[in-house]
Amino acid sequence: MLKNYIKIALRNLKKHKGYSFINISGLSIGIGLCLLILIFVKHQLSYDGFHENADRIVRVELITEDRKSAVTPSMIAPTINSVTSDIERWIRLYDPTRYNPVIISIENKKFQEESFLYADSSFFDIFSFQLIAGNSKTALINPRSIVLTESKAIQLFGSLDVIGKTINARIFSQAIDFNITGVVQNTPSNSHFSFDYLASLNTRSNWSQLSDTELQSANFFTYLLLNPKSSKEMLQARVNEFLDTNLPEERDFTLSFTPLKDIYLQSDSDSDVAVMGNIQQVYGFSLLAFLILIIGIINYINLATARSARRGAEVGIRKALGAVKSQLVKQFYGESIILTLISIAIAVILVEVCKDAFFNLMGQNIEFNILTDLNVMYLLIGITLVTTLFAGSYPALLLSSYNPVQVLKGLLNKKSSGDFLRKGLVAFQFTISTFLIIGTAVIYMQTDFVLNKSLGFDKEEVIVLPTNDRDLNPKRELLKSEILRQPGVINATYMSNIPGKVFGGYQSEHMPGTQRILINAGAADRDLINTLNIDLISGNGFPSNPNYSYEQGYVYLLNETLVSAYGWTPKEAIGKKFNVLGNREGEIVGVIKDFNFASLKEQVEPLALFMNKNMHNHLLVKVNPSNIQGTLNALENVWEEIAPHRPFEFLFMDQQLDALYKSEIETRNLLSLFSGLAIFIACLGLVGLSSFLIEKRAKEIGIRKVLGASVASIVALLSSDFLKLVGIGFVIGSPLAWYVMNEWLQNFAYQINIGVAVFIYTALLALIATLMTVSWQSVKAALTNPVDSLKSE
Amino acid sequence: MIKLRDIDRYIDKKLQRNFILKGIDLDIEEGDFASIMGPSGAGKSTLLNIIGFLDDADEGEYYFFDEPVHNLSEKQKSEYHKSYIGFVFQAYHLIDELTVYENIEMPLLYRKVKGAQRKSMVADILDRFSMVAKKDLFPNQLSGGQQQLVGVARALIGSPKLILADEPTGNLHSDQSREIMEIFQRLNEEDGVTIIQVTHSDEMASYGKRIINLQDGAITKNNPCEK
Repeated sequence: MLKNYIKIALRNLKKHKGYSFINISGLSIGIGLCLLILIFVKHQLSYDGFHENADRIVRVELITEDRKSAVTPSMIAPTINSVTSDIERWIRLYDPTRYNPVIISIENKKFQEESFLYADSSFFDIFSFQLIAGNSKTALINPRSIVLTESKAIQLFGSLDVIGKTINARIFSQAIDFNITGVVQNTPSNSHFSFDYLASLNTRSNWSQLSDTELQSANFFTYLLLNPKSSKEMLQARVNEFLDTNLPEERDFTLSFTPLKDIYLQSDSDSDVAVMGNIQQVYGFSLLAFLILIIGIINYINLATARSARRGAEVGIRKALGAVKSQLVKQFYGESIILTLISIAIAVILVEVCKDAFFNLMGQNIEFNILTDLNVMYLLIGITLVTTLFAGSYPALLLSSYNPVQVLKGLLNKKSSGDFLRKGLVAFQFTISTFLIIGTAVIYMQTDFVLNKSLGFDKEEVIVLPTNDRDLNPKRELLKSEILRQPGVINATYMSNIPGKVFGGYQSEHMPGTQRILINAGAADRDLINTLNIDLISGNGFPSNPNYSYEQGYVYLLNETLVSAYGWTPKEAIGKKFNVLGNREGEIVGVIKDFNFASLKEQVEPLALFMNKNMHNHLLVKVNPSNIQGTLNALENVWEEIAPHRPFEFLFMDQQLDALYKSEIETRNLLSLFSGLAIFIACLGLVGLSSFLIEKRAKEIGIRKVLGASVASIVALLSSDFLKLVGIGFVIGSPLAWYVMNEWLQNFAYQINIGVAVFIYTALLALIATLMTVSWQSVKAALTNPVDSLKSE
Repeated sequence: MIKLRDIDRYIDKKLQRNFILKGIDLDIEEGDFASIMGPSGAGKSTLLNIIGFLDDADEGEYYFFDEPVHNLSEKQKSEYHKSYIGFVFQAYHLIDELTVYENIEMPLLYRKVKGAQRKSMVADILDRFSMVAKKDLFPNQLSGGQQQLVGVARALIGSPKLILADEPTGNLHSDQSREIMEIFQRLNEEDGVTIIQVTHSDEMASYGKRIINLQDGAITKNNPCEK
């Protein structure tokens, strides 16, 4: 019996090739996408789960009046440890690369590195990163110890046998020789922080910021390993109590604790160790993949029921020959299982072929072998069941319930079996498609807007060179003047921070009569305004005297937002006293127009810029767009001459700024793919459905033609049915999309207006897609000689 | 074998009840060969379907081997149906996707006959109908007469006690029709299979032993066939 079912299912697939193609392609694309997204979701949810103690590790976060920060002062962990017994171990990580890359030198080779962490010696006791060589207990105990990852060891030395060797690291202008004490496995892609180098934190024991007892700036990521008997809540209560009793009333911060496994998806802290995931995005993508699968399933249901007249005859015969309903139900379920299995096989191949490109599109690096993962097997079994149940149930139950007498007489044709359902499902498909098209269009427009919006300064053709290096410090002025002499260089300025990267969160001084204001501040030099083309509204700007030094008193440029926060007009502000952090007294020499130095998701915040040549961490070079490569070569030559101890590394400021919208651009790319596929599958379904329904109406078309209907009127008649459904889909989908996309736009302080044009274009697109798929079928039907269609009765 | 008592079959329209069959009383003994005749719309096929358990009467009693069919459950009906009755249709109703062999085999599958036995049964009947060479062809590769032979073979494969044939020769030309009728006649005479057929043709009816005339849902004549 089973063999018979399989045989007939396969022969049916072979016989109706177009039908099979539509079903299988729709289902396999849907299943493939679901698989990819589920792999992605699984990866997102698996973050940090590989640590043996994952459930007992929490990260400390510092909550102040207006920020939640992932970095905390160094004394927090030791202090908590001394006042409670809730924690077993603690660890602090410090990331020096957030300000400037680290330069690693081995013999004559130099590497600029961005993934370097300092860690307390408890690192390997708390986290489960496996050492390949070295002793996990002692690797980070001594100052100047360093652990490399496997791939770095191979890259630098060509072997894993590196223990005892020395590498030189230049960190904040200071060159330190580190002794290699271990090689660790590469950090898994599902770790919320990663590193290539791990150095012992006590190397920096002389650093004033690193204190176990005194409160200093927040610079460290702090993780606590809880006692097995304790919990996050108990710890929180104990810490709150301690802070309340021991700190003076003016305490303006609290501490909170985030479980390790929640950090990646749920952290909302500033200054985090890496770019974090977004649980909303995970849910959103899962929903979308499922919707695409639904569109494929709808095709199957629609085509199966549309064909029911044909299959009905078979049902009748089988019933007349003694089949009972349950056997027929089994048979039709069997068919959808076979179809699903074929689709799954194709989907698995698709996934294997496309996964790298796909995850790349999502900005993820997920190592995955679909064939060896047991979870995928469960997943596939689940998908088979779900798809079979959804896709197979309606046809199976509908077809098997036919009365044999009626179907054998061919009575089914007269009834519009499942007509309403079919129409509803098609409208639903196009609701989803409309939603996706509009969503994609809005995201496109918004990302386009943020990438191209005028930021109030020139971001194009600005090359950024990192210059924070002790040996380079005395030569900085020389470097700049040499660079300015190169043809193609228009101007150059030093800055402590560059737009798009963090400006420090400084407190400004208590101004009499006003509250304390949290401002962003940084250093720049006298060429700032000309190089970046920032508008100076009032005052003279930074002094042009090359001999000016901050020791003579600080000079400040304030942006409009800051000035108006103090209630001054730009004119009033000039000459006023100003002070950042309480130790930089000076006066305001200019007010600049607001420019977007951070992401356009945020409004421009208060900003104060001052001159301090010790903070010249980056050199921004504005170049002529005509021969950028030539200019870069010239810059490299200058660099080789003045700073031979550092590799020539640079980045373009616009790229740096564009990176702020990485997640939006990923979402956009993925959504374009999804909506393209959704439209494709839905249109495939339309092709199939229209050809069946038109075939069913062959006689009607014949009669109409005999009575004098023109080809055009018949095409219009046949197409209009489908256009109506697509229209309904549009009417339901577009307000939905409008609502959801408006919510999404709230992420941005600067946003586009969703105009009417998007909706008009979407409607046109849907219209054209429908007409193209349906009309050739209609035209074919309309051109048929009526004699043929009428004779067949 | 078959006992129908006061059988009604009707369709309720909005205001009135349309009777397809009304007050049918009919007895058919084992070994009979009856032809149901009558004009279009007289209810011939409906009567045949009710006898064949494909349709249910709205009123009346139906005894099949003294078993009250009107009281049987679907499952029991299906059991009787499978083991006692074979159908032959005017439009052959073979399954297009299956070969001759597989079409003939199908009733056995629903009866859960074991594989080896199935093979020998199908081989037997293919041999009997001289269709061994055609066993791997699909229905659309056969002529109408050949298709109906397959249809008859399929009806016979389960050695039914009763064969119901709804205009079995309606789509065939006369030579083919005679061939089918001769097979029926042999089955009836040599194997004692009871046959009830619906036909429009006096010639085809003459192969049987009895003619039942139906008009407007009622039996008007029920006479032995004049030879």
